[in-house]
Amino acid sequence: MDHQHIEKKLLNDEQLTPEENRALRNHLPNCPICSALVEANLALKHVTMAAPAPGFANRFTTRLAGQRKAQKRRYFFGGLILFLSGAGALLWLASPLLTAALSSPADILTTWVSFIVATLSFIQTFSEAGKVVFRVATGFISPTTWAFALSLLSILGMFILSFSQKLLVQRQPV
Amino acid sequence: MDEEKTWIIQAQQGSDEAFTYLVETYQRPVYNLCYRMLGVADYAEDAAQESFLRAYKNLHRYDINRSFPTWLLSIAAHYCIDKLRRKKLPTFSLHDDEGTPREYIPDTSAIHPEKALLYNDQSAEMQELLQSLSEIDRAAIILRYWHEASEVEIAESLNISVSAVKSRLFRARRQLGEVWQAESEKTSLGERMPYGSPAY
Repeated sequence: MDHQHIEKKLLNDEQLTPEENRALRNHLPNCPICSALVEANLALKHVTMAAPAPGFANRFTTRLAGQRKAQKRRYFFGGLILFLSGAGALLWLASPLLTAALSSPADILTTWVSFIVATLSFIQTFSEAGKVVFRVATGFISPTTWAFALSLLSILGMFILSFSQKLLVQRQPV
Repeated sequence: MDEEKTWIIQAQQGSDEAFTYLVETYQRPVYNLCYRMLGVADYAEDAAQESFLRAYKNLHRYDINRSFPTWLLSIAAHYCIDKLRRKKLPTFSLHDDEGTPREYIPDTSAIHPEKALLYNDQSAEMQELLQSLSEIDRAAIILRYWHEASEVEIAESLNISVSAVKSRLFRARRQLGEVWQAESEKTSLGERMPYGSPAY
Protein backbone atom coordinates (compact mmCIF):
# COMPACT_ATOMS: atom_id res chain seq x y z
CA MET A 1 0.00 0.00 0.00
CA ASP A 2 1.56 3.29 -1.11
CA HIS A 3 1.83 6.69 0.58
CA GLN A 4 -0.82 8.30 -1.65
CA HIS A 5 -3.44 5.71 -0.75
CA ILE A 6 -2.81 6.07 2.99
CA GLU A 7 -2.67 9.88 2.81
CA LYS A 8 -5.97 10.01 0.91
CA LYS A 9 -7.61 7.76 3.50
CA LEU A 10 -6.34 10.00 6.31
CA LEU A 11 -7.39 13.22 4.57
CA ASN A 12 -10.87 11.85 4.01
CA ASP A 13 -10.94 10.56 7.60
CA GLU A 14 -12.09 7.18 6.34
CA GLN A 15 -12.34 4.01 8.40
CA LEU A 16 -9.29 1.78 7.80
CA THR A 17 -9.49 -1.96 7.28
CA PRO A 18 -7.25 -4.16 9.52
CA GLU A 19 -4.91 -4.64 6.55
CA GLU A 20 -4.77 -0.87 5.94
CA ASN A 21 -4.14 -0.34 9.66
CA ARG A 22 -1.13 -2.68 9.53
CA ALA A 23 0.17 -0.89 6.42
CA LEU A 24 -0.28 2.47 8.17
CA ARG A 25 1.70 1.29 11.23
CA ASN A 26 4.56 0.20 8.98
CA HIS A 27 4.36 3.42 6.95
CA LEU A 28 4.26 5.97 9.77
CA PRO A 29 7.87 5.72 11.06
CA ASN A 30 9.14 6.58 7.56
CA CYS A 31 6.61 9.30 6.64
CA PRO A 32 6.53 12.61 8.56
CA ILE A 33 3.57 13.83 6.43
CA CYS A 34 1.29 10.94 7.37
CA SER A 35 2.55 11.00 10.99
CA ALA A 36 1.58 14.67 11.23
CA LEU A 37 -1.83 13.89 9.72
CA VAL A 38 -2.46 11.08 12.20
CA GLU A 39 -1.38 13.22 15.15
CA ALA A 40 -3.46 16.20 14.03
CA ASN A 41 -6.47 13.94 13.49
CA LEU A 42 -5.99 12.39 16.94
CA ALA A 43 -5.72 15.82 18.54
CA LEU A 44 -8.91 16.91 16.77
CA LYS A 45 -10.73 13.86 18.07
CA HIS A 46 -9.82 14.71 21.67
CA VAL A 47 -10.74 18.37 21.71
CA THR A 48 -12.56 20.01 24.60
CA MET A 49 -15.53 22.36 24.49
CA ALA A 50 -14.85 25.90 25.67
CA ALA A 51 -17.42 27.24 28.13
CA PRO A 52 -18.45 30.84 28.67
CA ALA A 53 -17.95 32.58 32.02
CA PRO A 54 -20.81 31.92 34.48
CA GLY A 55 -23.90 34.12 34.12
CA PHE A 56 -24.01 34.03 30.32
CA ALA A 57 -27.81 33.77 30.21
CA ASN A 58 -28.19 36.69 32.65
CA ARG A 59 -25.87 38.81 30.54
CA PHE A 60 -27.94 37.90 27.51
CA THR A 61 -31.16 38.96 29.26
CA THR A 62 -29.58 42.29 30.20
CA ARG A 63 -28.36 42.79 26.64
CA LEU A 64 -31.79 41.95 25.23
CA ALA A 65 -33.44 44.44 27.59
CA GLY A 66 -30.91 47.08 26.53
CA GLN A 67 -31.62 46.40 22.86
CA ARG A 68 -35.36 46.67 23.42
CA LYS A 69 -34.92 49.98 25.24
CA ALA A 70 -32.72 51.28 22.42
CA GLN A 71 -35.29 50.15 19.86
CA LYS A 72 -38.12 51.90 21.73
CA ARG A 73 -36.01 55.04 21.86
CA ARG A 74 -35.30 54.74 18.12
CA TYR A 75 -39.03 54.34 17.35
CA PHE A 76 -39.91 57.34 19.53
CA PHE A 77 -37.31 59.65 18.00
CA GLY A 78 -38.05 58.32 14.49
CA GLY A 79 -41.76 59.09 14.96
CA LEU A 80 -40.97 62.50 16.40
CA ILE A 81 -38.68 63.37 13.48
CA LEU A 82 -41.33 62.16 11.00
CA PHE A 83 -44.05 64.22 12.69
CA LEU A 84 -41.89 67.33 12.89
CA SER A 85 -40.81 66.97 9.24
CA GLY A 86 -44.44 66.51 8.12
CA ALA A 87 -45.60 69.49 10.16
CA GLY A 88 -42.69 71.57 8.83
CA ALA A 89 -43.47 70.63 5.23
CA LEU A 90 -47.16 71.47 5.70
CA LEU A 91 -46.28 74.80 7.24
CA TRP A 92 -43.89 75.55 4.41
CA LEU A 93 -46.52 74.69 1.77
CA ALA A 94 -49.23 76.67 3.53
CA SER A 95 -47.01 79.64 4.38
CA PRO A 96 -48.17 81.90 1.45
CA LEU A 97 -51.80 81.20 2.29
CA LEU A 98 -51.22 81.73 5.97
CA THR A 99 -49.35 84.99 5.36
CA ALA A 100 -52.20 86.26 3.19
CA ALA A 101 -54.80 85.13 5.69
CA LEU A 102 -52.97 86.79 8.54
CA SER A 103 -52.38 90.05 6.64
CA SER A 104 -55.99 90.44 5.34
CA PRO A 105 -58.48 87.89 6.70
CA ALA A 106 -61.50 89.65 5.07
CA ASP A 107 -60.02 89.34 1.55
CA ILE A 108 -59.36 85.60 1.98
CA LEU A 109 -62.90 85.05 3.28
CA THR A 110 -64.39 86.90 0.33
CA THR A 111 -62.31 84.88 -2.19
CA TRP A 112 -63.37 81.58 -0.62
CA VAL A 113 -67.07 82.47 -0.50
CA SER A 114 -67.07 83.67 -4.13
CA PHE A 115 -65.27 80.47 -5.22
CA ILE A 116 -67.89 78.30 -3.50
CA VAL A 117 -70.78 80.32 -4.97
CA ALA A 118 -69.27 80.11 -8.50
CA THR A 119 -68.82 76.34 -8.23
CA LEU A 120 -72.41 75.82 -7.04
CA SER A 121 -73.87 78.00 -9.80
CA PHE A 122 -71.81 76.13 -12.43
CA ILE A 123 -73.19 72.79 -11.23
CA GLN A 124 -76.75 74.17 -11.29
CA THR A 125 -76.40 75.58 -14.84
CA PHE A 126 -74.87 72.36 -16.12
CA SER A 127 -77.71 70.21 -14.74
CA GLU A 128 -80.36 72.57 -16.20
CA ALA A 129 -78.70 72.39 -19.64
CA GLY A 130 -78.56 68.58 -19.41
CA LYS A 131 -82.30 68.38 -18.67
CA VAL A 132 -83.11 70.56 -21.69
CA VAL A 133 -80.91 68.48 -24.04
CA PHE A 134 -82.56 65.25 -22.82
CA ARG A 135 -86.08 66.60 -23.38
CA VAL A 136 -85.25 67.76 -26.92
CA ALA A 137 -83.38 64.54 -27.86
CA THR A 138 -86.25 62.24 -26.77
CA GLY A 139 -88.60 64.15 -29.14
CA PHE A 140 -86.28 63.65 -32.16
CA ILE A 141 -85.38 59.94 -31.69
CA SER A 142 -88.03 57.24 -32.30
CA PRO A 143 -88.76 54.53 -29.65
CA THR A 144 -87.48 51.80 -32.05
CA THR A 145 -84.09 53.51 -32.29
CA TRP A 146 -83.96 53.81 -28.50
CA ALA A 147 -84.77 50.11 -28.11
CA PHE A 148 -82.16 49.15 -30.70
CA ALA A 149 -79.49 51.37 -29.11
CA LEU A 150 -80.22 50.02 -25.62
CA SER A 151 -80.04 46.38 -26.82
CA LEU A 152 -76.74 47.10 -28.56
CA LEU A 153 -75.35 48.65 -25.40
CA SER A 154 -76.46 45.72 -23.22
CA ILE A 155 -74.87 43.17 -25.62
CA LEU A 156 -71.64 45.18 -25.58
CA GLY A 157 -71.76 45.29 -21.76
CA MET A 158 -72.21 41.51 -21.48
CA PHE A 159 -69.36 40.93 -23.92
CA ILE A 160 -66.99 43.17 -21.89
CA LEU A 161 -68.05 41.47 -18.64
CA SER A 162 -67.42 37.92 -19.88
CA PHE A 163 -64.08 38.91 -21.47
CA SER A 164 -62.81 40.56 -18.27
CA GLN A 165 -63.85 37.49 -16.20
CA LYS A 166 -61.87 35.23 -18.56
CA LEU A 167 -58.84 37.43 -18.16
CA LEU A 168 -59.13 37.36 -14.35
CA VAL A 169 -59.34 33.55 -14.30
CA GLN A 170 -56.21 33.24 -16.45
CA ARG A 171 -54.17 35.59 -14.23
CA GLN A 172 -54.94 33.85 -10.95
CA PRO A 173 -51.88 32.09 -9.44
CA VAL A 174 -51.85 28.28 -9.46
CA MET B 1 -43.64 16.63 20.67
CA ASP B 2 -40.44 16.76 22.70
CA GLU B 3 -39.65 19.25 25.44
CA GLU B 4 -37.26 21.32 23.34
CA LYS B 5 -39.85 21.88 20.63
CA THR B 6 -42.31 23.05 23.26
CA TRP B 7 -39.77 25.62 24.50
CA ILE B 8 -39.08 26.74 20.93
CA ILE B 9 -42.78 27.17 20.15
CA GLN B 10 -43.28 29.11 23.39
CA ALA B 11 -40.29 31.30 22.52
CA GLN B 12 -41.73 31.86 19.04
CA GLN B 13 -44.93 33.01 20.72
CA GLY B 14 -42.94 35.62 22.62
CA SER B 15 -42.02 33.90 25.89
CA ASP B 16 -38.72 35.35 27.17
CA GLU B 17 -38.50 32.61 29.78
CA ALA B 18 -38.58 29.94 27.07
CA PHE B 19 -35.87 31.68 25.07
CA THR B 20 -33.71 32.05 28.18
CA TYR B 21 -34.05 28.30 28.67
CA LEU B 22 -32.79 27.80 25.09
CA VAL B 23 -29.88 30.18 25.79
CA GLU B 24 -28.96 28.19 28.90
CA THR B 25 -29.14 24.93 26.96
CA TYR B 26 -27.07 26.01 23.97
CA GLN B 27 -24.73 28.63 25.46
CA ARG B 28 -21.80 26.24 25.55
CA PRO B 29 -21.85 24.97 21.93
CA VAL B 30 -22.50 28.47 20.58
CA TYR B 31 -19.75 30.00 22.73
CA ASN B 32 -17.35 27.20 21.81
CA LEU B 33 -17.93 27.74 18.09
CA CYS B 34 -17.36 31.49 18.47
CA TYR B 35 -14.27 30.96 20.61
CA ARG B 36 -12.73 28.45 18.19
CA MET B 37 -13.52 30.76 15.27
CA LEU B 38 -12.31 34.04 16.77
CA GLY B 39 -9.68 32.77 19.19
CA VAL B 40 -10.21 35.40 21.93
CA ALA B 41 -12.54 34.82 24.89
CA ASP B 42 -13.91 38.39 24.93
CA TYR B 43 -14.72 38.41 21.22
CA ALA B 44 -16.26 34.96 21.59
CA GLU B 45 -18.53 36.15 24.42
CA ASP B 46 -19.67 39.10 22.34
CA ALA B 47 -20.19 36.97 19.23
CA ALA B 48 -22.14 34.32 21.15
CA GLN B 49 -24.40 36.97 22.72
CA GLU B 50 -24.95 38.57 19.31
CA SER B 51 -25.72 35.18 17.76
CA PHE B 52 -28.43 34.54 20.37
CA LEU B 53 -29.84 38.03 19.77
CA ARG B 54 -30.02 37.33 16.03
CA ALA B 55 -31.67 33.99 16.73
CA TYR B 56 -34.19 35.75 18.98
CA LYS B 57 -35.02 38.31 16.29
CA ASN B 58 -35.36 35.67 13.55
CA LEU B 59 -37.10 33.01 15.61
CA HIS B 60 -40.32 33.45 13.61
CA ARG B 61 -38.40 32.29 10.50
CA TYR B 62 -37.16 29.09 12.15
CA ASP B 63 -38.76 25.95 10.71
CA ILE B 64 -39.70 23.69 13.62
CA ASN B 65 -38.95 20.60 11.49
CA ARG B 66 -35.28 21.55 11.20
CA SER B 67 -32.69 20.86 13.87
CA PHE B 68 -32.56 23.81 16.28
CA PRO B 69 -28.85 23.46 17.21
CA THR B 70 -27.91 23.30 13.50
CA TRP B 71 -29.91 26.50 12.86
CA LEU B 72 -28.38 28.22 15.89
CA LEU B 73 -24.81 27.19 15.05
CA SER B 74 -25.39 28.32 11.48
CA ILE B 75 -26.22 31.82 12.76
CA ALA B 76 -23.14 31.83 14.99
CA ALA B 77 -20.86 30.52 12.22
CA HIS B 78 -22.04 33.13 9.73
CA TYR B 79 -21.69 35.89 12.30
CA CYS B 80 -18.08 34.87 13.06
CA ILE B 81 -17.20 34.47 9.36
CA ASP B 82 -18.56 37.98 8.66
CA LYS B 83 -16.71 39.38 11.66
CA LEU B 84 -13.43 37.82 10.56
CA ARG B 85 -13.85 39.02 6.96
CA ARG B 86 -14.91 42.56 7.80
CA LYS B 87 -12.72 43.50 10.70
CA LYS B 88 -9.79 41.13 10.45
CA LEU B 89 -9.79 40.60 14.20
CA PRO B 90 -6.49 39.99 15.94
CA THR B 91 -6.28 36.30 16.82
CA PHE B 92 -4.53 34.54 19.63
CA SER B 93 -1.12 33.11 18.77
CA LEU B 94 1.33 31.11 20.81
CA HIS B 95 4.20 32.88 19.09
CA ASP B 96 5.07 36.52 18.62
CA ASP B 97 5.79 38.12 15.24
CA GLU B 98 9.32 36.75 15.18
CA GLY B 99 8.14 33.22 15.90
CA THR B 100 9.39 33.19 19.50
CA PRO B 101 7.02 31.35 21.87
CA ARG B 102 5.07 33.76 24.09
CA GLU B 103 5.28 33.35 27.83
CA TYR B 104 1.80 33.06 29.30
CA ILE B 105 1.43 34.99 32.56
CA PRO B 106 -1.94 34.20 34.11
CA ASP B 107 -3.83 37.05 35.76
CA THR B 108 -5.55 35.09 38.52
CA SER B 109 -7.76 38.01 39.52
CA ALA B 110 -9.28 38.33 36.05
CA ILE B 111 -9.75 34.71 34.98
CA HIS B 112 -12.82 32.62 35.72
CA PRO B 113 -12.13 28.92 36.33
CA GLU B 114 -13.90 28.18 33.01
CA LYS B 115 -11.79 30.74 31.19
CA ALA B 116 -8.60 29.40 32.73
CA LEU B 117 -9.38 26.02 31.25
CA LEU B 118 -9.06 27.54 27.81
CA TYR B 119 -5.41 28.19 28.37
CA ASN B 120 -4.34 24.63 28.77
CA ASP B 121 -1.65 23.53 26.34
CA GLN B 122 -3.79 21.42 24.08
CA SER B 123 -6.43 24.09 23.70
CA ALA B 124 -3.91 26.81 22.90
CA GLU B 125 -2.04 24.69 20.38
CA MET B 126 -5.28 23.67 18.76
CA GLN B 127 -6.32 27.31 18.64
CA GLU B 128 -3.17 28.18 16.76
CA LEU B 129 -3.73 25.30 14.37
CA LEU B 130 -7.22 26.55 13.64
CA GLN B 131 -6.01 30.07 12.92
CA SER B 132 -4.05 28.70 9.97
CA LEU B 133 -7.31 27.81 8.18
CA SER B 134 -9.58 30.05 6.13
CA GLU B 135 -12.82 31.17 7.81
CA ILE B 136 -15.12 28.61 6.15
CA ASP B 137 -12.63 25.73 6.42
CA ARG B 138 -12.23 26.56 10.11
CA ALA B 139 -15.98 26.59 10.65
CA ALA B 140 -16.29 23.22 8.87
CA ILE B 141 -13.56 21.66 11.04
CA ILE B 142 -15.06 23.06 14.26
CA LEU B 143 -18.53 21.80 13.40
CA ARG B 144 -17.11 18.39 12.44
CA TYR B 145 -14.88 17.75 15.44
CA TRP B 146 -16.24 19.86 18.29
CA HIS B 147 -19.91 19.55 17.46
CA GLU B 148 -19.80 16.15 15.77
CA ALA B 149 -21.90 17.47 12.90
CA SER B 150 -22.40 15.31 9.82
CA GLU B 151 -21.36 16.56 6.40
CA VAL B 152 -25.01 17.26 5.60
CA GLU B 153 -25.43 19.31 8.79
CA ILE B 154 -22.23 21.26 8.05
CA ALA B 155 -23.51 21.93 4.53
CA GLU B 156 -26.80 23.20 5.97
CA SER B 157 -25.05 25.36 8.54
CA LEU B 158 -22.61 26.95 6.12
CA ASN B 159 -24.97 27.15 3.12
CA ILE B 160 -22.64 25.15 0.89
CA SER B 161 -23.04 21.83 -0.92
CA VAL B 162 -22.10 18.49 0.68
CA SER B 163 -19.36 17.98 -1.91
CA ALA B 164 -17.98 21.42 -1.02
CA VAL B 165 -17.94 20.37 2.64
CA LYS B 166 -16.03 17.20 1.76
CA SER B 167 -13.42 19.07 -0.26
CA ARG B 168 -13.10 21.78 2.43
CA LEU B 169 -12.58 19.16 5.15
CA PHE B 170 -10.04 17.38 2.95
CA ARG B 171 -8.14 20.63 2.33
CA ALA B 172 -8.37 21.69 5.98
CA ARG B 173 -6.97 18.36 7.22
CA ARG B 174 -4.06 18.68 4.79
CA GLN B 175 -3.40 22.24 5.97
CA LEU B 176 -3.59 21.20 9.64
CA GLY B 177 -1.21 18.31 8.96
CA GLU B 178 1.29 20.66 7.35
CA VAL B 179 1.15 23.13 10.25
CA TRP B 180 1.37 20.25 12.75
CA GLN B 181 4.44 18.90 10.95
CA ALA B 182 6.08 22.35 10.90
CA GLU B 183 5.34 22.82 14.62
CA SER B 184 6.73 19.35 15.43
CA GLU B 185 9.92 20.12 13.51
CA LYS B 186 10.27 23.45 15.36
CA THR B 187 9.73 21.73 18.71
CA SER B 188 12.26 18.98 18.01
CA LEU B 189 14.76 21.66 16.91
CA GLY B 190 14.07 23.57 20.13
CA GLU B 191 14.69 20.41 22.19
CA ARG B 192 18.01 19.96 20.47
CA MET B 193 18.89 23.67 21.07
CA PRO B 194 17.47 24.42 24.54
CA TYR B 195 19.18 27.82 24.74
CA GLY B 196 18.59 28.75 21.14
CA SER B 197 22.26 28.54 20.09
CA PRO B 198 22.71 26.56 16.91
CA ALA B 199 25.00 23.54 17.09
CA TYR B 200 27.51 24.33 14.34
